[in-house]
Amino acid sequence: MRRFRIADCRLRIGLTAIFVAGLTLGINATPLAAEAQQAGKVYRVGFLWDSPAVWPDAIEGFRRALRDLGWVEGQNIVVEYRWAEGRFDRLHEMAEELVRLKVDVIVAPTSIYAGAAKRATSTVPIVFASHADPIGSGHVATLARPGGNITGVALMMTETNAKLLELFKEAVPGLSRVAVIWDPATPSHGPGLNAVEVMGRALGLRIQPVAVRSAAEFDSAFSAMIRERAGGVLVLSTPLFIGGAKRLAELAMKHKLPTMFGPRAHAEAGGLLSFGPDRAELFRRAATYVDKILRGARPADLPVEQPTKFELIINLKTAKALGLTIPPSVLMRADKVIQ
Amino acid sequence: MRVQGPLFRKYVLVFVAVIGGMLIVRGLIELYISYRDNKAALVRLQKEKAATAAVRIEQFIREIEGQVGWAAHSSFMPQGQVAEQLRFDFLWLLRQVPSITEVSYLDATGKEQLLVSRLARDRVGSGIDYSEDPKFRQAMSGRTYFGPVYFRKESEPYMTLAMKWRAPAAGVTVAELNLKLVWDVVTQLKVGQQGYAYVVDPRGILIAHPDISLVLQKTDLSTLPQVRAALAALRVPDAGQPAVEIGQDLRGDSVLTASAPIAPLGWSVFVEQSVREAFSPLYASMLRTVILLVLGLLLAVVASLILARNMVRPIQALQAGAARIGAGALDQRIEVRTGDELEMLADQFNQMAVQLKESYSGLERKVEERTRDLREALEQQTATAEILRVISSSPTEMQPVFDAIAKDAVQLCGGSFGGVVRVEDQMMRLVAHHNFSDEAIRSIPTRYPAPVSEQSLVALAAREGVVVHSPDVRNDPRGRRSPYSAAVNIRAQVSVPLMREGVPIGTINVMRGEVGPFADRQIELLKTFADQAVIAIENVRLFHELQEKTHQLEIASKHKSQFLANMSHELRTPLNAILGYTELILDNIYGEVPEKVHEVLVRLEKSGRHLLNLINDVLDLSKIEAGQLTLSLADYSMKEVVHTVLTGLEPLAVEKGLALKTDISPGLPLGRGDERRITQVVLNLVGNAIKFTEAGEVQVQVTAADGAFVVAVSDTGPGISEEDQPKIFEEFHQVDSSSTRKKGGTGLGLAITRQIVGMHGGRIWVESSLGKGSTFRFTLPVRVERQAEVP
Repeated sequence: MRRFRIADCRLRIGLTAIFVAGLTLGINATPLAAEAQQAGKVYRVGFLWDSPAVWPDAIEGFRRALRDLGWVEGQNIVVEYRWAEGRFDRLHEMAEELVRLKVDVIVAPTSIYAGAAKRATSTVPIVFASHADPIGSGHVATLARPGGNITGVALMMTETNAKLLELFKEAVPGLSRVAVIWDPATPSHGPGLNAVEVMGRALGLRIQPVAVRSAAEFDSAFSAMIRERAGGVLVLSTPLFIGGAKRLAELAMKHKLPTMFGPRAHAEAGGLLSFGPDRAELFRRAATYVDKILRGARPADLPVEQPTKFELIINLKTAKALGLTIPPSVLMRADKVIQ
Repeated sequence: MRVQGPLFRKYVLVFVAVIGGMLIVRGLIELYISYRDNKAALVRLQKEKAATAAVRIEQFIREIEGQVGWAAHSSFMPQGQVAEQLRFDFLWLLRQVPSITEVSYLDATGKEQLLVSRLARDRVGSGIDYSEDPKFRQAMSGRTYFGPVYFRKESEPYMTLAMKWRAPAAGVTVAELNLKLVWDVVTQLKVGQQGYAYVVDPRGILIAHPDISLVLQKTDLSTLPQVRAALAALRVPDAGQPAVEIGQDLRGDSVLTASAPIAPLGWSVFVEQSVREAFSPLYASMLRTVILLVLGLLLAVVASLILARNMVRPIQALQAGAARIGAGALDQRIEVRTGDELEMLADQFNQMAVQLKESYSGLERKVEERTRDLREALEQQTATAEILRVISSSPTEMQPVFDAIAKDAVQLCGGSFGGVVRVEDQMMRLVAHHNFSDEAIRSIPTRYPAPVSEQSLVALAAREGVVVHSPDVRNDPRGRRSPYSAAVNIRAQVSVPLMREGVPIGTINVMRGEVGPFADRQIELLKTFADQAVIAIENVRLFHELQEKTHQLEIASKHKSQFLANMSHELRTPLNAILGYTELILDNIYGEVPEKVHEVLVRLEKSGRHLLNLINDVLDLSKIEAGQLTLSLADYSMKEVVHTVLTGLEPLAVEKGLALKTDISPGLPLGRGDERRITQVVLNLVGNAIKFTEAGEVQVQVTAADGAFVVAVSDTGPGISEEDQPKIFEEFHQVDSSSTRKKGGTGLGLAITRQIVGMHGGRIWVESSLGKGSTFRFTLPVRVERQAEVP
């Protein structure tokens, strides 16, 4: 009698079942695999800045924010840092190098870096972190709709510079002549200086602009101020001056001049006052722009954010050394007092 | 593997349909319930979150309101000028409430007295008139004013809050709130992985959203269905919760949505979660259910296949087995080990097959037996027929018959070899043998001839006429040991006697090289052969006897003819002398003869002539029979022959008053033959015609056709009956013996005529009937070159 080959048949049924099950699972697994593959891409972020020593807490804040948003350096993101180290003539070259590296986004925190990056590319997205005046410099069309390849967090520095002068006057009673140190190479300093001069006139202050183009000019700048009998120094914000915060504070102390700055770093370095947004917070906000752009958003559609929190820092040590008594209405405004 | 039949498919379909149907229905119900519960739970959760968010935002606003109100209360209100205290209070307020960007004081007439700003320049006593502004008017009415959301620098959402001082004749504190800080509240709301909350104002403009850029873009959400429904619900109090649970987000994707109003502001908080995510646990459970369903179906299919196989396989085995049994494979056994009715059925099939096989094998055995019998019978018949054929084809020879009998006896009776022995004069001789070895053939002379009286099995059969059957020759006391039997190696033997009229005349002997009995059937067949052998022997003996006698008769007949010829010749010589002398006497040579004597002499002469004719005829006939008559062939003219005859016989016809006519074809060819004998034939026929015809005519007709003369002699005589016609050509025969006596004649004429015509190669016959006359007709070849043999 012919035997039926049962084992053979069972094997076939088993294989069919496995095949069908595999097919079912395979259909479900396919999108997951595709997603994983996309996630497997490593993005490159160009970071253009003066030096790791300038606002290290802001740089660290930026990196931490990226990490919090799921971008881990060396894992799914590579940050190409380019440090100008005060050599602004190299900025353009470094920006072009980043473009050649085909980075997915360039972080150029302030107006001078954003300007260099914008000259290097009109396609690679650029994010600024504390742009003094994106509209005044012509980098964006409107704050709500930047329209180009560049967006980020703005400082409203032109506006704050005026408030700076008002607060300075209130903090140092009897102030009449104020020297304003500015950098002609910083695009926002022109409008900023204007605002200060307008405010000065309104407040009945004599404004004495002192252009400083490099750290080497600090000493001569102070010599000029003394010659002009300035009663205080207001320093507009730019990385050049931030890098020289210590030196500026020392010179001011040497010449017994009260000082007013934007970034808090100056007050911490020995300056008398600083009023401005927290840069670390701004950099953290900038990281959200990088995140959105890496996830496919277009810079043209991302509105420029403005800081909501402005900090007034008063260094009472310096005030004491200068023999100044800060009035209570100013102290009332202070967010931080350095004893 | 065998192709599965319809039964298998049917079973599989039914099983799969039942199990799969149950699984599918259960899975669908479960899915539906799960979906409903899940959705309800999610919506409930979102509603709670939205409500919580609304409460928190309200609290946020209320807190600011409280702070602003506290600042307003605590200040001493100077008339007409700004007190330093108020400025401190406002600075304190800015410190306390980070979302307030500016705070200002409007006096009771709506004129701005103080403005403290975080960014802009502080103003003291600007006196700007806001008395018609809604914020002043509403605040003055005692109710806190919450202004519409507006955007500074096109991107910063702001709202104006204004409160009247409690003190009499006091003004209004106006605070500008940056609503981005509401964002903190909103972003802290987490719904699932990707769920989010947002706030819209009564116009549907986005106030707060985790994606701040959407807020900064003043996004209008009033087109979204859930927003539209919520706003409509706000406008109509007591309308309850909006019914929309599935809405859309800005990308157009479906979201599970819930909203809660922030009553004092007219805002709405929405908590949304993409349907995909919200239901992802549901999808996961659906996927699980589907996978389980698929696995269940697969299991069902596999189980169905196995079950159906298990059900169908024994049935197929039964069907296949039954088909094979039906086709005749009765050794087929159906193997079904299911332990149920199917196995019983299979067992019954098997029993049936066994019984069928048994009855078949019984039948086959019988058929085989019959066939063997038939074949043997046929072989025996064939052998018998063969022997008969041999007998008939050799009537004079016995040897072929003996050879055939020896061969067939050995072959058909199961012998190894055998032979035929004849007994003559009490001596036995081996006359035929079959299948003898060369050594056995050489030893024959030492054994035969042998006396019948000796002691041996053959001799016993030949002597006593009985069948001698010895299954073991060497231990048979009747037997005889001889060098011959050793050489031939006889171990078993049967000898059957040839009996003629109860006397044995020989034996047929069939021997074997091994011990064992011969079957009765074989011995019976040998008896048949023995009978046939006897017939053959008898045939040959009779044939020889007959031949001997015939030979003797022929010699006797020849002697008789010789004698008759001699006698006739011897008789004719004296008769011629008698007739010669009688004529001489009648011619008066010896003198005048008296009248009376003359008459006697005439009668004497007549009788003498008759006797002479008679003797001549006898002489002719005996010559012919003795083979002594020879034709002398020469050319002749048939016409001449007829004329000669008619001329000679005309007187006789005239005497009887008969007309004698001839009809001879012109231009007859010249014939060749014995003219005298042909003349004798014609003379005989015409003479007979005249002799037997009393009135009328006699006609002779001669024609020639196909190289032969046809001669017809017709008369108007009495005719010859049909039964007499063959006899008239025999010797000594006349139709009527009385007529012979009356008409005279020897009765040998027609016999001689027939012989002569025959010797020429012709033929003679008669056409006649009684009362109608007779026509004798003969053919004669025109050219006869050789004498023919006449039987």
